[in-house]
Amino acid sequence: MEIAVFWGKVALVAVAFGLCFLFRGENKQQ
Amino acid sequence: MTLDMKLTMIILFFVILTFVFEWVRVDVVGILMMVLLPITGLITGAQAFSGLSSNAVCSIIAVIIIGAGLDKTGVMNRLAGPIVQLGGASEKRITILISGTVGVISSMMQNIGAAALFLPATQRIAKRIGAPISQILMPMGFCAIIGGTLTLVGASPTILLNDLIQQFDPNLERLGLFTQTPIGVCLLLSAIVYFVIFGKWLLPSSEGTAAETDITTSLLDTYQAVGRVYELRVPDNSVSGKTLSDLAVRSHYLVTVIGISHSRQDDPNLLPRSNDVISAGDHIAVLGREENTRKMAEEFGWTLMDDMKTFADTLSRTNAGMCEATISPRSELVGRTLDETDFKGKYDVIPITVARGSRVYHAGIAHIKLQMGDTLLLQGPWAHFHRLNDLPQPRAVSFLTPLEGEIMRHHKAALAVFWLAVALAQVILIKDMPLSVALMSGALGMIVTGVLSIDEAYHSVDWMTVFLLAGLIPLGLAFKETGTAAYLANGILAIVGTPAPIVLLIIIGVLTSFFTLVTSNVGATVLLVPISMSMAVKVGADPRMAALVVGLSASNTFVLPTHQVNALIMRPGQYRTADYARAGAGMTLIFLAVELTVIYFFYGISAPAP
Repeated sequence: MEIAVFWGKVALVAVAFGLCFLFRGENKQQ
Repeated sequence: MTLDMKLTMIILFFVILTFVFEWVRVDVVGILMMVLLPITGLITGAQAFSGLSSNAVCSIIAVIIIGAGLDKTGVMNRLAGPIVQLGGASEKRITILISGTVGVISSMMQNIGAAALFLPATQRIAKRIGAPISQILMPMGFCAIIGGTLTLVGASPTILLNDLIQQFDPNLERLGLFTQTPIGVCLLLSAIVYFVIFGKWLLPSSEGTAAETDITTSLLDTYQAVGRVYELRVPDNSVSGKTLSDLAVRSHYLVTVIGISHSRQDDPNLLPRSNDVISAGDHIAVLGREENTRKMAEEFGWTLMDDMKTFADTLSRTNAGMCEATISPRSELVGRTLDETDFKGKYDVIPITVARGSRVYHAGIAHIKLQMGDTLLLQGPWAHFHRLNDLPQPRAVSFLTPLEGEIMRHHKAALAVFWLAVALAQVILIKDMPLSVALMSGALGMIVTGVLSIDEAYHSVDWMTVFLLAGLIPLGLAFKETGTAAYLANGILAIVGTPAPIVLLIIIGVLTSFFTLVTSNVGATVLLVPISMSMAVKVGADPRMAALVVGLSASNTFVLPTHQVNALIMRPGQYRTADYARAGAGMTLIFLAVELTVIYFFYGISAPAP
């Protein structure tokens, strides 16, 4: 169970930074 | 290694990756930390936002407001004056002067305070000498950080050292206020030398955003026929008593007199009228083509100076310049001439040319009947342009180019200095007074007494700096709270075993330099001093020196913009993370090399005989 929660959190972190990566072009204009 | 530690390491890895590749701006990474860390349960929600209310962030906000107040009242300009005079137009000399001064000041106060106070002055100086701000600001910032190593009270990590040493072993001798000064002096000097020699290659030479480029220069490039500004001197033996209209400077030579400095008067007259008399010993500033100016000077027997002397300050980019303005539809000027409306006398600016369609008129412009849409090229002090721009509609003209400079509140200068003194006095005199409270009271004093308005105060604070710092504080917290920091430090030192004392000190130095980048410098010190001291005892090194290496290396933070000072100068200097990596990598290595060399040769690293 604990391991599953851990991987869930890792997935969340990956999604967050993945979004930053995917939208990096739009963020460059800031 | 617990799961939380693994998660912290994963997040740290991504943060560094994002910092380096700048997928999003660094302050957005800070906000991401405020959200991601509590969601993943590494820290509590309250801890996540604790950065916003931290002493560091509130101090920065306050000191930025104080700096803005000093800037708006012209205090910074006055401070910049002597530095520019000493350094001349040499970028290197200016860098040495500013960095050295900030470094020394930083040894006595929080280095963020020294850097934030000097930021506006540095910006003004760079503008004045026409140097890219990015070439001067990073050396200034790095020296503010290094200046903290000059005395025991210069930076928070070393302030803690004696307490930590006493906790470890109450019998050990305490460090003195100036024990570390020789090391700090060597570090500061090596940083200045480093930037003087390699600065040109290491630092970007971006001139700033479009608004930062010099309007006057670009206008003079557009209006080639207008020429440049020159200073002339009327020799003492010259026949005097002729007025400007007698001399017919404008109609004969197409040269406009934009300033007269009479030898007996202090302030130059920046609004010469046709009936002003030119006398022997006067200095005259003119705008014209070089050949015309030369010819005029020859015929009148005036001397053309190589450089601006008398007008260097009054006509400098920060004080005066040119702008383009158009005659607006309901302007009082429509259908009348500049002469009829007494344009010069009314608005205190000098018209240089009138453009209609594709034609530009240089001579006889005072007698042209103006139409809506005519464009005037104007010269004058920025304050006068701002005054014209602040008039209610319908205004005589609308400005087409951005106005530089601002209206200075010179009469509030004494108040601004007073409130700075009040803030600093509290820091120095009252023990246990939090820096943020002392500085904020100074900032508040400035607002209440009208040095700057509350809106100007809000406007001066840079949210990027605030959120970058406030977001990095929870990351440091997570690093500490989950035990990741202690785990890593213990792990690395366990692998090392029992090396020679100097090798151990090198490892401690490198380890501290890494930790201080990702967690706070205080956090790194508190964590590493006890571990390092016990390791030092084990290998027969002086535990006090091990503690000193940690305390000093905690200021070795140049590779990422995570230190407060580096975050502060990031936006004004237009730096990217890559710029810190490039200039900071060399600085980090030099810092470690100088620090350890001086300690090895002059302090002795072996444990004293019992």
